[in-house]
Amino acid sequence: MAKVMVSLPDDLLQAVDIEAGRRGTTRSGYLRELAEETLRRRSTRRAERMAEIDAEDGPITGHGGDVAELVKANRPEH
Amino acid sequence: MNLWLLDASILLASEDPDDQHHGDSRRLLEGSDPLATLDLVFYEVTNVAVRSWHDHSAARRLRNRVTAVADDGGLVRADAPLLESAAGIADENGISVYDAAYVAAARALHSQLVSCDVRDLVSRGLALLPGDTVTRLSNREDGIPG
Repeated sequence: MAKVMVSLPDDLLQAVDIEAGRRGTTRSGYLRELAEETLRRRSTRRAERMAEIDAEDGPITGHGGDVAELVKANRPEH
Repeated sequence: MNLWLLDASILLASEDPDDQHHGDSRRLLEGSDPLATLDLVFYEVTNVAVRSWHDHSAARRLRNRVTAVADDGGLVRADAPLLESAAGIADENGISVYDAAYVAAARALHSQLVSCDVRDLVSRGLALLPGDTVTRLSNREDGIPG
């Protein structure tokens, strides 16, 4: 696990330490949880958005497959 | 937590139930790992949806899916340094600069490229199939390393 140096304002660091203590974890552990939670929330939102997009603009229909070859066939060199 | 970089084929497979990677691509897009892509994907998915599928609804949904991925792990810009890297990868592997740009984008983010392109990317070890990433995710959730 990498160790990093982070600059925080004094009052924010104090708030982090108080919350970490309240949760029974360390400063590093709490900051790690916050980072993971922020990233997870973003990915969860993306996953939810995919389900919403399914309902947009009518039903999804089949197009014959082989999409990797279709990508190449539509490039300008062809 | 893995960051996966998706090429156009993953987005297109998720929109085509006839593609053999449709289910795995959808599971990846609806999964919990962070996802990123390259700006080129906007052109490539729209090109296929409009020119080959003649399906403007699919084109709109695909653009929205790309935007959702960009808001998650990011949209890598195909700029001069990335294309310099892509040119080297293309030469080294005998693949197009388009495909190499996705490889370069994944390397720039220290992530893994995911693609349905077996011929030029997966067979050369430059990308994983969507099913491989889904297996890794399932293993991790089951506590199996890998």
